[in-house]
Order: sequence, then structure tokens, then C-alpha cells
Amino acid sequence: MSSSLALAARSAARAAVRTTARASFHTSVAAKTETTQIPDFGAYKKTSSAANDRAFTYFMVGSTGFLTAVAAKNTVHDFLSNLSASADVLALAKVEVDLTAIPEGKNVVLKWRGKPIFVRHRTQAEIDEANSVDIASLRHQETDAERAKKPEFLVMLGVCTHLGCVPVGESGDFGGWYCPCHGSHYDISGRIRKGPAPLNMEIPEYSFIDDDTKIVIG
Amino acid sequence: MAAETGLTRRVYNGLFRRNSVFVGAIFATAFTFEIFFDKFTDNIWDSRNKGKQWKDIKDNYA
Repeated sequence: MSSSLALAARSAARAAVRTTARASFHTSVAAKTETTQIPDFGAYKKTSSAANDRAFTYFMVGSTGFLTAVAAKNTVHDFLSNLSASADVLALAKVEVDLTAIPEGKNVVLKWRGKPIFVRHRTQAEIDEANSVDIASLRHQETDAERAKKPEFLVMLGVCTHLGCVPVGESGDFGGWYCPCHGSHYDISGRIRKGPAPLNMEIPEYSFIDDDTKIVIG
Repeated sequence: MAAETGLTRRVYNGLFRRNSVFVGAIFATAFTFEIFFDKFTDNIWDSRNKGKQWKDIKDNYA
């Protein structure tokens, strides 16, 4: 309300100035045409309605928005996929082992990501022995079921948890592995039983494929 | 002046009026658009490279 009053006052003041200016200006030439006639701007006026224009404007804003969202998502995606490992690296990071080639009661040592992997096809007597151990008496308390997905096959990283030597199979006081470097004894489940090593031998990520005839490590 | 169609008013009221709905619609459109756009461009790529890609020649080797 106050702004419209101020507007009215301002235009009144301007009109006053204009009348005085017009009063001091003289010309002897008569106007040839009627100068107050306003040309028809109809051809330049838009014909669309306000509601249509508003919808169109929001439509354009929204279209720009979703295209920007797609572009931003793809930019981020490209950067992240550039950072992650490529397919050839991922392929090298896996090892496939044929379990049918391992006779019962034998160890297989293979290399995976530069480290040895022990795969042992355990006999039923060895499985029973691993299960009969009192968990409470262990240094690193793990059941055999936690360490082997299928009890017949023990898959573990063949690195002593003490200082990283490779233990020797089928030896030691507990019928499992023995680390010759500082005398750590592991049992048939790869658990530390005697010696300086603090933890059981590590279990890598692995899964059985092809009706449990093969395993993929990694 | 063209007559105001009911459609634009309905679109405005249903989609643009509330900012939450507007932004949600933008993201939903971006999501669906990308799926079909990727499919479309992948089809172009596959048809232009027919017979050169591993999936085309895989049967000859594996």
C-alpha cells in the first residue's frame, strides 16, 4: 500500500517536471501526423497463455535438471570405475583348484597373490581329531567348522602368523604344520597350539564351484 | 491468445507445484532415461561392431 502511494507521488513529481519542460519548448513546424497514435504491436505479442508458458518453463528447468543429474552420475561413476581394479587384475587375483586331483590325506601347496595356499584333503580321523579339541584351551579360539566350509577340505594361507615363514606340512607335535623358523606348532585345523605364533593360520576367501569338485580362492 | 489447455494446468499442479515432487520426478526421470539411453547407445555400438566382439566370436573358441 505504502509503495503504491510512493509510486503515485513520484509519477506526479515527474509529470510536473515534464509540463514545465514542455512549456519552455517551442517549434514552428506543425506535426505532420498524429504523434500520439500508438502502433499496433499485436504481431509481436505472444499468443500462448500464462499457464502454458509456466508449464513450459518448468519443463525446461526439469529437463536440464535430469540431464545434469545423468551427467553428474556418469562423471562420478567414471572416476570410481577408473579407481577400481580392472578385469585382468581381478582375473589374476583368483585361483581355481581341482579338488578331485587331491587324494585323501594329502596336502597341496599353490601360489595365490604371491603367498602360499595350503589345501588339505583331510581324512575322517583328522576331522574327528580337529573337532575333539577343547576350544577353551586354545590360544586363538576357533572351532573347526568356523575354519573349514566343508570339513574334508581345509583351505588356508600357508603363512606363519609369527613372522611370516611358510610352515612345513604333516609335522609338528599336533599332526598338522610346523614352522621351522621359531618352532610354532599348528594342529590339523591350522590352529596355533604351541610356540610363538599368536594366531591361527589365516583362512582366505574361497568358494566351491562345479558341484564341489573345484574351489575358487579369492 | 490460445486457450489454456487442461493438460498444462494438470501437469503444473501434479508435478511442478511442490518442489519435493519436482525434484523427485527429475531423479526418477534421470534414472529411467539412463537405462533406456544406455540400452539405445549399446545397441548402436553392438550393431556397428558386429562380428568383432568377444560375445560374437565366443562360440568359435569356447
